[in-house]
Amino acid sequence: MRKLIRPSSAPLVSVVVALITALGGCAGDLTSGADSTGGLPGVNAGPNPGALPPTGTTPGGVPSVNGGGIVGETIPCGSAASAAPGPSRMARLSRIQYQNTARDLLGIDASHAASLSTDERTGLFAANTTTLPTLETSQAYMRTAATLATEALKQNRQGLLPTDCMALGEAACGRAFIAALLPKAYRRPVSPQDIEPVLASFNLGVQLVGFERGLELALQTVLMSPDFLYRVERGGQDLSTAAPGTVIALDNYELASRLSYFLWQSMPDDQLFAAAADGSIATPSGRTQQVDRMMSSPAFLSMLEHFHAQWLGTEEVTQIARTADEFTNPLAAAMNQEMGLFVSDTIAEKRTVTDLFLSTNAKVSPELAALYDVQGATPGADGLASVTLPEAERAGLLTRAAFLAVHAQDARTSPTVRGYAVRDRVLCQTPPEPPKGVDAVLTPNTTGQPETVRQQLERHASDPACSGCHQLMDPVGLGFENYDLIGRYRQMDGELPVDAKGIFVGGTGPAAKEFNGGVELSKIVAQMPEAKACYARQWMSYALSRSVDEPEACLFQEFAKIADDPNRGGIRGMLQALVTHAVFSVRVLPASNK
Amino acid sequence: MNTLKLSRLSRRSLLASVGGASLLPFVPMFGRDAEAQGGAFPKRIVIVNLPNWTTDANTLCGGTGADFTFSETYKSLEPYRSDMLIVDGLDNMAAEGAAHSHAGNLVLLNGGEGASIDQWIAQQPEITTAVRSLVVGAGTRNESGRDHVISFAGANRPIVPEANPAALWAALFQDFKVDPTQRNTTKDANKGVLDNVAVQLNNLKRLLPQDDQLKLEAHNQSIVELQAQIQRAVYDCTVPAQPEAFAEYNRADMLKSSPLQMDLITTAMACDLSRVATLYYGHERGGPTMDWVGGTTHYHDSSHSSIGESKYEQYSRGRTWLVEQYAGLVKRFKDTPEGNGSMLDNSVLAFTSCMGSSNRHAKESIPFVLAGGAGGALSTGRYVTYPGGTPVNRMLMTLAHAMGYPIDMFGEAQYCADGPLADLHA
Repeated sequence: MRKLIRPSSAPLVSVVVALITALGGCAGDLTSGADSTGGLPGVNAGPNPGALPPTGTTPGGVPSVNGGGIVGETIPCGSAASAAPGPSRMARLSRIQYQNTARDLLGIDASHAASLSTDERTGLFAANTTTLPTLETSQAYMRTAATLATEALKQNRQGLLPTDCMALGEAACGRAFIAALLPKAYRRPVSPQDIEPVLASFNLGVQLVGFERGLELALQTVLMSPDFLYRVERGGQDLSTAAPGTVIALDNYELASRLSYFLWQSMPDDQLFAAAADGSIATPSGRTQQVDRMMSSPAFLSMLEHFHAQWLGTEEVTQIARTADEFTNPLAAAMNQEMGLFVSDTIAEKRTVTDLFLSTNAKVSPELAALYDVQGATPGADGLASVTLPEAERAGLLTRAAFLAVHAQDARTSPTVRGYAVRDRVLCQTPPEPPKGVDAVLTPNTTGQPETVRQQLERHASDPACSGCHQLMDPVGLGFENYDLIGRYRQMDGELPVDAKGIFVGGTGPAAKEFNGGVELSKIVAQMPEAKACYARQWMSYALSRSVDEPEACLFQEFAKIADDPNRGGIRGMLQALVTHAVFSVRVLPASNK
Repeated sequence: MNTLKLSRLSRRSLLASVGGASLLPFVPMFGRDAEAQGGAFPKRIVIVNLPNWTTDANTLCGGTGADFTFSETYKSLEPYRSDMLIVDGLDNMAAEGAAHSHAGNLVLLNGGEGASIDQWIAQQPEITTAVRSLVVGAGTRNESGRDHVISFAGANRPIVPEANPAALWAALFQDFKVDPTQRNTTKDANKGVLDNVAVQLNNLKRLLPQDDQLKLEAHNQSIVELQAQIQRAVYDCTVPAQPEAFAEYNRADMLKSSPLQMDLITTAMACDLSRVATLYYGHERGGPTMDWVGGTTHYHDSSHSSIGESKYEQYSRGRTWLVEQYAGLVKRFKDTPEGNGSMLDNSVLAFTSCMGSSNRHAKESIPFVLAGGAGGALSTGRYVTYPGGTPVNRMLMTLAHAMGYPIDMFGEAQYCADGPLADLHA
């Protein structure tokens, strides 16, 4: 039995209350009405099991709550099922999160933070949970912090210094500056112990050069602080002796940060901080109110683009090389943009995961209109034309140019790579590693006769050592053969006609299903429960910066149902359900890496 | 000359003894008058990563030992014959699990686990240069994450190469322009800020669960290392011209940045600002279309070819160009006088690649070409081949030996049984 460590200070009690409330309901209940579990406990109610609704209302009757507010290792998630949340490791801000946070904290453009080195992925998503900082990492943080500090104090002095700060005198103004900045930078209330080292930097700067330098060094110290750079989640507790596997309830400020780093990829704003301070963020209605507000922000749309670009790997499209002359930088950028606008429009319109796999709506630049063969539409002020892609040729995400161009080889299509992407990213059925010593590369065609990619591949995969795995990938990927290496629709592969017949076999999917071409493939995927569950699972991984595995299957299956239900808000509704669910409010401590 | 004289030691016992009396530390020497002062010149190491390699008839040299002929691809190295130690036949054995992938880079320089050899050397306490190591790229991009990294400060600690020569210049020379008084003030300020960050790390660490603590311990280590590096800053060097900043990543940056990055490495090492560098030319699964040598497809794509195919011709020209870059680095070191000879005499410049057949993704028979004797530690002017099954770990130990660290274990123990490649040693 895992132990729940409860936040100790008074406002934090409400977290536990909300947690326990959520324990009583499944994901769907939380979106359809906060009081579906039998009434909201007031924020002042203690975590006393007696205050909970009768256990009979808990779907499945999972004994999730024991006396004293100790939570079992499972949380309920729908009809007669429960889930064990997976452990999560402390995350260092990703580069995008750092840039956004610096911008929102300092009120200046922080794009030069792009020179920070790249992020490590957890699953498919940039999360920095495993790799450890090096000398070079800290050096980059130091340089970036120095530059940001100088520029921020120049460009947004008024925004950063408290009103009439200078009238206080230099020493008091420095203190006031730090006291105002720290709770935002550290995303929580601060103690004198937090102020001390920053004040020490301020005093050093004053002593070495003067007041201005003091402000700069204080700010630089804040930007290099672990409380700024890491997303600390300790439930407001001393966890130094807590065992791996312990389930902690996040405190309200940590919850605010989880929300904002998920939905905005940035720090909380003033209203979120206020909701953390008054405890409303921990109540289902209070949280729903914040989430609705956050989802109407442009930062939410950027996040949607960011998620899908990482999920499908299409963020790479501007970095890859393909041998087609038409594959220019502007075309690659247009592909990326089209993908982003497609997903953010679809989700903002409260549409479903099925729509993502089937819709032919697109906003295209002139270059991309040519690729899709939909010229003629009048572009809007942004240079993009809203079009419907030809229904015989395109359907949803998997037939978009960005996906098809990324999942190819430099100089040809690759049914294996495309099939792998569908299995791994879309169905969460990662094929096993190839056997040792196997030749990975297609043997050159020595017949002197023209050969399609399909024929080359069939020659390769006929080796029994390979065919076991390849049958998971190739027959799926071959369905995309009517798109070339940059995603153009085609009927000929070189001199020979394309054969885009494919079949889903193996894996955990339904019985073998045959199809012809990318549109039919997309229609099958759009009906596969595995695809929808995988989509929800990827969202959980992104939202929680950790891997999400089988013990949580009932959760992502439950979320997937919402994502596919237009009456429950579709994907947008699922995201609301996710952030209001108990799983979003807890952290399971990981085993130590070493 | 390094006066270190040790019988063969295990890595562990060496680590235990450094800092004690058993090793005479390097005396850092700034400028080139070390010999006049009766001291030794510092030893330097540069490792150049040429991705997507293939060891084939065009790269294999003829003959053996001192009696050898340069291969077609290695022709540009001919002027440095007496400085060269060309090695073939090593296997990147720790990468064997990565059968299909290009992932051999992850273990090429660490032999399977932990720090890579360049960083392991850079971390030795005797190396007290202003910059611990230079990890730079020509035609890489800062977005290319650990998947493309060969240089690791330790387990899970990848170092992404700096692709922008202007940024490398700034890291090395920015502060040279600053007035010395102000420079000292900045040094004091940086020291204070880092001290205060260390306090913050310690305050937070005490409250966190164990795994989070390990993370902050590593973070603290990086702060301590940065602190030490900042205090070691020296400003004794003729500052080279500042290269133009590259606007954004461009696939053709390799051509432009190669000479700039090599110039900066050479200058930094001549001034003893650093003794360890790792230079990447693109990375696995990447690489530009080298249209400057008639390429019409990407270097990686062209590597999926065999002798006789038309695509192979441009692959071959690409490889030859890459070796010419390495030869350019050898020339730069050779043209830098030091004592009675050149900086090359006191250095070892190596190029290698994680695959011996890019076409088949085979991790066997990788190239390891050395130039310079590292202060007389290596017996140069030779071509040496090893039988299949000779792990690259043995070469990594030899590089440590050349730099003055006679270790008999590096990376996974199972690949270290036979120790370094002692027949390469002088």
